[in-house]
Amino acid sequence: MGYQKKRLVTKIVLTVIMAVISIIMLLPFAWMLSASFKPDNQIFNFPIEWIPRNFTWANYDRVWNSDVPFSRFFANSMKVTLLSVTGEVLTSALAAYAFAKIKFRGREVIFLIYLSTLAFPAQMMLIPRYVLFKAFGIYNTHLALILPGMFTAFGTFMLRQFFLSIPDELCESAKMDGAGHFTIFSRIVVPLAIPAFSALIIFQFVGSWNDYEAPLVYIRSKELATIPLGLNFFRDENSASYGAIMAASVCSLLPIFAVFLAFQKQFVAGIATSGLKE
Amino acid sequence: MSKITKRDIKENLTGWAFIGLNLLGYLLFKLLPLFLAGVLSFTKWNIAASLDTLQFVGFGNFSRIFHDPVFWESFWNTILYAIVMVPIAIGLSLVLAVILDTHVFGKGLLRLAFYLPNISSMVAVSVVWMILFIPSYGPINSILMSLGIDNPPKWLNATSTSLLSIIIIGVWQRLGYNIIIILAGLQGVSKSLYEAAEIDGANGIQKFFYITIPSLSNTMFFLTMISFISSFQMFTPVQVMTKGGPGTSSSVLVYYIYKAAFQNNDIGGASAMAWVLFLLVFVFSAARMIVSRKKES
Amino acid sequence: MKKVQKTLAVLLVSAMGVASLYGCGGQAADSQGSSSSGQEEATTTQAEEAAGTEEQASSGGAQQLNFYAWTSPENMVPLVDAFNKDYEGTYELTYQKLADAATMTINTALGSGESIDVMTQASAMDLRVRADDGVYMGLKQFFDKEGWTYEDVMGSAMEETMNIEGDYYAIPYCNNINMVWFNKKMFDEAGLEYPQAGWTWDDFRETAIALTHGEGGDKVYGAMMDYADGDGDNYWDLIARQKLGAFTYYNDDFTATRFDAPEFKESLEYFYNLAMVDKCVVPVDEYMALQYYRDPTGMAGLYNGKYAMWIAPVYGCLYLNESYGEIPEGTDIGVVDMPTVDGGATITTCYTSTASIPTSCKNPDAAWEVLKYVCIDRADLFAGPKAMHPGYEFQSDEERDAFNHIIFDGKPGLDVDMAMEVMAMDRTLVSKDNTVRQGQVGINEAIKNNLTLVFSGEMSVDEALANLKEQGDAAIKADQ
Repeated sequence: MGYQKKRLVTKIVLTVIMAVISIIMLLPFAWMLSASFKPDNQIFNFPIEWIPRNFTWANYDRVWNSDVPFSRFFANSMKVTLLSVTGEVLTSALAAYAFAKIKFRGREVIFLIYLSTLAFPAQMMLIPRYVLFKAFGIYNTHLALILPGMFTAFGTFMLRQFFLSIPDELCESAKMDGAGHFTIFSRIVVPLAIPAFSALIIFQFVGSWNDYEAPLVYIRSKELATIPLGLNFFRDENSASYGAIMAASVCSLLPIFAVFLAFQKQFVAGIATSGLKE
Repeated sequence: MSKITKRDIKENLTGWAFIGLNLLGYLLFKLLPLFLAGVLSFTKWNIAASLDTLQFVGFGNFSRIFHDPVFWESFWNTILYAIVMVPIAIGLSLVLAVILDTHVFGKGLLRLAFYLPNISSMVAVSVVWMILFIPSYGPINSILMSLGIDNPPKWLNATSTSLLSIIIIGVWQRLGYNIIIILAGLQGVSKSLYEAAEIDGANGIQKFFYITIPSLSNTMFFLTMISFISSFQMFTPVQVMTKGGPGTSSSVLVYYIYKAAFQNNDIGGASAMAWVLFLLVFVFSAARMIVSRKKES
Repeated sequence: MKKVQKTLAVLLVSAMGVASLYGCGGQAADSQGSSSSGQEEATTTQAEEAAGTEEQASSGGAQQLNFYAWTSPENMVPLVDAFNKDYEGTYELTYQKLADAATMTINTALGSGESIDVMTQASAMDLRVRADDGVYMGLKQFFDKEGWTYEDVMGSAMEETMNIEGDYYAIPYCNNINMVWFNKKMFDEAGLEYPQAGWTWDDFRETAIALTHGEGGDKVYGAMMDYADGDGDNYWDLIARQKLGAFTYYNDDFTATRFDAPEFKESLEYFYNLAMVDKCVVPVDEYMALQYYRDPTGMAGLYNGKYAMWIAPVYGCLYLNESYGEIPEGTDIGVVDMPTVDGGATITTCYTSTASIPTSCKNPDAAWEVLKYVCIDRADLFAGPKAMHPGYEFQSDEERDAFNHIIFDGKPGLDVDMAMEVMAMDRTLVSKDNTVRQGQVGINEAIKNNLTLVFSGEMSVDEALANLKEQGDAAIKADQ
């Protein structure tokens, strides 16, 4: 009984400590959120007022109803991110299945090439891709953002690691029953791999949503801009208003938080089993 | 030579069909650009001009960057950033993850709180950090001064602390990712080991050092490697907050590459530096691959 | 709690789904160019695009021309409409907005293969590089055809900076004159007289010190300027520029820098003292963190009373506009010429943004019409609404005053009478445009690397200038 009690006390104390640390972690966000509800001339008042004295929605109004079509940037980001993430999950799942479960000629060589390019810095490819996109005729279209995101070595690698952990016997017995590879893939492997997919979705969603350099280089038209680039436009055109910039930043973060909230349980499980940690 | 059966052919075709789409995209959008990056590093070219104006300059770009002191400072800053940031972030997140794993209420919420910095856009967040770091009256120094520290650091505005400030932001941002990975690793640690240790009367700290850490060695190895690789590629906070300054005290490789390509019309030099960065990253990825291969066999 | 979390997540995710559907709808409309969707959300740009294609179809023979700049599209409507009216049936001008004025943004657009008739740029260095690399057409032929000389139209000072090996590759569409803006209320409260043309740098310093008060976050500074860092203008060399004239950094034959000249020491020392000794100007850390280098933020700091004087170009007054932030009741902003070195005639710095015709342009004669139109004929519709002076010289006082009215009228909180009076005064302009290619990248890097150290108190003025001289000279040598 005493032991249990001691344990409970420790747990409460640790929870309090962790809560304090996590509040410190969140301070920059708190500042951002609080500034977004303040009139401009009160943002830099010291000491900091964490809860705005003169609470105002004006900054959010500015974000959504200004000349700069922020809702347009939002829609563009959604489209680019959802299509590239969906595309990536699809193509890498198929490829990962082939790498993990089908014995075909050239498999090892191709996989080795995939692996060795896993770590190329993205900045290295900005200019060459620009040259290529021009040649393909997709410069200044959303395809220039969606297509590269659809084919990544990382996604393939991560899913392959997960698929390897699915016992071969499961697939073999399905084969006995006359199932082809596609049936095994869609009926057995994919349902088992939901956690791994969640992890991949979160990683790629975050990467694609926050990507600033690719749109900067490949997108010229303002009406095609995604949120990070749009934030730039917004800053140019409303730049005296810190509150509005903070409100726009808050709006750009919300979808990411939503995706994480929706997938976080499977996300941790996905990492635990996808072999990503080894 | 074994006889090729109909089944083998079918298996081969299926394999290629499954991989085909991804492979095609991979060739077009990754391998081809990488090849082009290699070519560009031996040239002098203005991307505004037509391709006919491209000149081959041999190793000219490489010899130029190797003679550039700012390149070397950026190179060493990159390494310094990595070797300070990575161990601190991993150490802290290990402790936090172990506590989070079993010893708290509201695990999900806390986990979310720690993970938020990692999924936020660094551009938006850097703007806030700059304000927090203002030396004369920013919130951080206000707190330090109220704690009786008369001369708090000048953070982003001094050569001695500019990189350190960026390291702090790096740790802040990295913690959540590390914690998630370690939490996942902890799921694989056998509970019976802990129970046995408890029967032997081990306390929490002993359990941490004798069970948790050894069991997590794979995870920690993965984390170290991936952290190094991503910290070699860090640049947004530098670009937004310090622009490599004061002086060149916070310039890092990717920032310098970015500046050469984006501001100074030096595509060739930028591509050459990108290869140096690649080598750095490659050494670490190769090490990672060799070790994980060994484990597999 | 869990349930709330989940519901929230589901709600947000479904909202995202709807938003993305709308995004895809947008794409369909984009790709078909003019499909009339009739949706409320159809943005102005889309509508314009659609209108553009329809008009093209109806006007038949009109040739499509494209003008590229980074001004927001809404502000370009009068210029584009006026052009299309004047050239109805012959040309049809479309405005294309660039994300920003960055080197890379403009280079990628230029290299993209899009049909560009006129391209603008803010950087004189970029202009030089593009001219050297054959991206732009020489414009002398067009001047010859019109029977003009560049000097007659643009003035001799402009001719000097824009002359690249005997030809011209751009026309300045604006000329930004550096002035001192000040908050009259703060002068009144401190019991100080408003500054007058002919004041000296010593006057400036005394005024700035007298206006500085307070501590910590409430500290009010006498002045704000960009000394050496950030994306804006630099003013650490202002006194040297006033004394040494254009191409300040170079010796007469451009074979070396002249950072060892006493004028540079005087200039840097002066600004160093303001920032580090008198502490009467906004320090570099606050300047960076609060992003005062962005002009709208700079103006906001002035009318919000964070500092009493602001060194900035004339177009700074553009940001006296409610759409950039709330302007407090009773705001009263005045303007005065730059302080002088000796109390005599005013010498001040200026810089331009320019417009050029790419060599890839399909119909150079048509492009020349556009270039002429935006830079010279109708500067009142391009430079004017941006509160910028045109690149050419005014022929009469009436012309000058009419243009100044375009610049200053309708700016809430501005003392328009004072601004009109001040801008009518005589001043000598020193161009900051640097179209010398040798060493320019290296010199700019050296300035940034050394002066950020000076203004964070880690390097002495003498050491910085010695480094600048050494590194600048080396950069010139390497480029020769």
